[in-house]
Amino acid sequence: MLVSGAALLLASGAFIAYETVLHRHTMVLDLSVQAQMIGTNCVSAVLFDDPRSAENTLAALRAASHVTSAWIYTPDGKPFAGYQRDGNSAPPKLPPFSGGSAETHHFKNGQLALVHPVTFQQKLTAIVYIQSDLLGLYQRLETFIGIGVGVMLASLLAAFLVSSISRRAIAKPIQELSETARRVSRDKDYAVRATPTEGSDEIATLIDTFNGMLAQIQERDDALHKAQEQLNLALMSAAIGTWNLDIARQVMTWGDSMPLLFGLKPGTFSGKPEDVLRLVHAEDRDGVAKWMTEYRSDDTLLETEFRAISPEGTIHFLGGRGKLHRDTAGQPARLTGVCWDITERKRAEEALRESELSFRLLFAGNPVPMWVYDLESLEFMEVNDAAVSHYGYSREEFLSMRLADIRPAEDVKLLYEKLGRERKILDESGPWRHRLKDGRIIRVQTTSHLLTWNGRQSSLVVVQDISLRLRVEEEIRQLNSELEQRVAERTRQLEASNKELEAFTYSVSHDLRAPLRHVDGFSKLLVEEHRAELSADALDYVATIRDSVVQMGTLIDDLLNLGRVGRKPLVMEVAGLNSLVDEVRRDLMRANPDREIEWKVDTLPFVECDPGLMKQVFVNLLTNAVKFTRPRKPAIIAVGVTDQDGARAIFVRDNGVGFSMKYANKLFGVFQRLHRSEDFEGTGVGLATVQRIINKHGGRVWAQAELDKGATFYFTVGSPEDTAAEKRA
Amino acid sequence: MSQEEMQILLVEDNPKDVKLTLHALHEDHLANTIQVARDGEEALDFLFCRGQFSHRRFDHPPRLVLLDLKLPKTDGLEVLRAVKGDPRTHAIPIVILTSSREESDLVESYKLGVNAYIQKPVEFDSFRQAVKQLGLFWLVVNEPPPARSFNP
Repeated sequence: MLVSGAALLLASGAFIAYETVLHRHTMVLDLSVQAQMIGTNCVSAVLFDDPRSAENTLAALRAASHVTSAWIYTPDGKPFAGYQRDGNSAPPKLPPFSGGSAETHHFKNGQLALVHPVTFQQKLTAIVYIQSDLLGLYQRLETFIGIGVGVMLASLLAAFLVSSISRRAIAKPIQELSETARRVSRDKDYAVRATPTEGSDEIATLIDTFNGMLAQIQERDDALHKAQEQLNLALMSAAIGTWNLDIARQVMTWGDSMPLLFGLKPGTFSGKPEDVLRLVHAEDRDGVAKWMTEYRSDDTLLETEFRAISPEGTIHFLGGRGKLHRDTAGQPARLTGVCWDITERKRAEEALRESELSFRLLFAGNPVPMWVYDLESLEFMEVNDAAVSHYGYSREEFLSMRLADIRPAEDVKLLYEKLGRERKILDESGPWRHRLKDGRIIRVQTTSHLLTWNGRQSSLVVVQDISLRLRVEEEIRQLNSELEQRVAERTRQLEASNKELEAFTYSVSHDLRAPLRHVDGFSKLLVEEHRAELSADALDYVATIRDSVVQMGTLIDDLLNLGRVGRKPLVMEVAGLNSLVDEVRRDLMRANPDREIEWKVDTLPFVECDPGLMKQVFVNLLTNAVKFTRPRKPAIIAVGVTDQDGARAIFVRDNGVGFSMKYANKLFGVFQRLHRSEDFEGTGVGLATVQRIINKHGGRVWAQAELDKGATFYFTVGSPEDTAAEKRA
Repeated sequence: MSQEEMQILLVEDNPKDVKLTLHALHEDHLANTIQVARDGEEALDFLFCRGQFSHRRFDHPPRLVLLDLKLPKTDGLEVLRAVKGDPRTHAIPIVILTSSREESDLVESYKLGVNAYIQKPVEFDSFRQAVKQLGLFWLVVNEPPPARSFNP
């Protein structure tokens, strides 16, 4: 609007100026014409010096209202006649006149003055001086200015109307568009969109295009972000850091992974290259500084390795690589590069170096003889110190020999046979015979392992000298066989003596009893058939004889029984102890019908035992119990199970005469008796038999008693596992 | 003594035992039907009707054989084996009457088919009682095997 206003103003001004110039020109022409007319009409008057006529002529100027005055001068400049529109005044002084016939004019004091020389017959005759006001000009100017202002106002109004309409349709959307563009560029927010307008004019198209462009930018931006994130992740995972050095400004920027490599917290790096150097191991600092300034011909940096020390003092080995970028003038502008952690590789290299060294030491210094031989030529390629000292050959001698050379000639065929067979990577073989340098033969066991040694297919052999072991084994074998022989001999002897013993006891059981029987039988017959002839004393003697015979018989029976128990192998089966006890009890009741006995028999377990022998145990123990309770009325005999130190024990308890524990150690000895035979008969073999049977079963037997207060006999039988099995059953 | 009266064969080498045994049997009037063999050989001759007993016949066997184990020449177990192993004699009741009661003897005797096994008690009263009961049981109480039992 301002612009259109100014343009209008300029146009109006130009027009007015033009009009003014044009009008002034017209006025000058008009006045000139009038001056000529006056001059022509007044020539005669001047010639005839008639001022009255001239003044009449001049008076005609009344018709031209704008002429304010007119004067005629003689060529010498004297006023001749004059006309004045308003009043009288002295004739103005003739303006300086150049002479000649050229007409001049000038504008002065709101007046146009024109001087017109009049010539007659090429001779200056008079000079016309005419003055006109500029009212006409001013009136025209006023009119023009009025029109111009009117036009301008009208056009400004029109312009305002148009602009306010277009503002809604064009300017506002564009303004918004530009605001949006500003936001986008300021905030880098590609998600915003310009508000679309209705319609389908250029603005709408522009906004659509702009939004489309933004959408594309956003898409690319997202993709870029994603790619950046992935790259960062990859760099992080691979422990690769990126860096950028502005050479001119000496500012370094780091990628996300870089601080980790240097052991810094993210965001704490200053960006100064010298601070980077401070993080480098002192010994590597110069190298790194130099590295960053030495570009190769293709503007890359040599790959370098250096140690970084974190603020905590941890050392990381880092690798670095970089590239130089030049500015348009070809001058170095910036360096970009990467760093990565090579600590593990370095450590592995170190470990490998150490392990190689260890391996060399293990081989060379191993106390076991070892060598490496070429699989093809069978030459020794390497031997260790132990092999040298064990075999007596020097290292040089070894290395000039083949495998066959350290073997007795007759074994070489065997060696080739073995080597001809399929080779296993790890193989044990032997025993082999090897010949030492001094000619002695040793026997060895070898373990070999295939490997590549100095580029040759070879085998590492570990040698174990088993000569001593074989010798010792041989000795042991001999000793063993001698021992076996001796054992066999002893067994034979033992068997023979066992047989003898059996024959002896067999014969004893038959032959020893027979005479006793005869003694008793005939004593009895003597008494029966010759009682009348015998005195009372004689009868008493015979009774004593018979007593001894019975005692002797019992003794023989008991001893034979004891011997039998010792010799007889156990025949194990599972037997219920209650049934054994019941059998024995019934026999005892039958044998002692006049005794009053209270039996208390608990539920007893089933045990794995030799039932015949186990019954013998109960026979002996219960017989004793019955015997030693003879003075008791009633006698109380109990049989039960008790737990003794975690083991199951069977007991037989009576309320008999008991015994003093003083003699408990004699209780189970053969022929040991704690009672006089006139009080309680017995041979002193019963408990010895019990102990022998129980011991044979892997159990033990013991007694607890007090004089006159009864006795308890305990025995264990069977292992605790049996007990457990029983509980399960 | 006629053949028919031979009801008990006592195989016993010890004369004292013979005497005591016969004494016990006498009291019940069983002794006069007793034939005594002093060793296994003699016993087998008697039972198998040979040698000095070749006049005997298999269809008149003794009602009871009292057999000691420990005998000269052929011992009791061999006699038992021979008698029980022969169809002509295996039905004859044989009772072992011996001093020992070695388990091996018991086992072997029963395996061979002995009809009873008695250990001679050392005490004479018991011995006499046992012999008496034996005689009475086998000769009086027990039904003897019919003659057909001895035919193979």
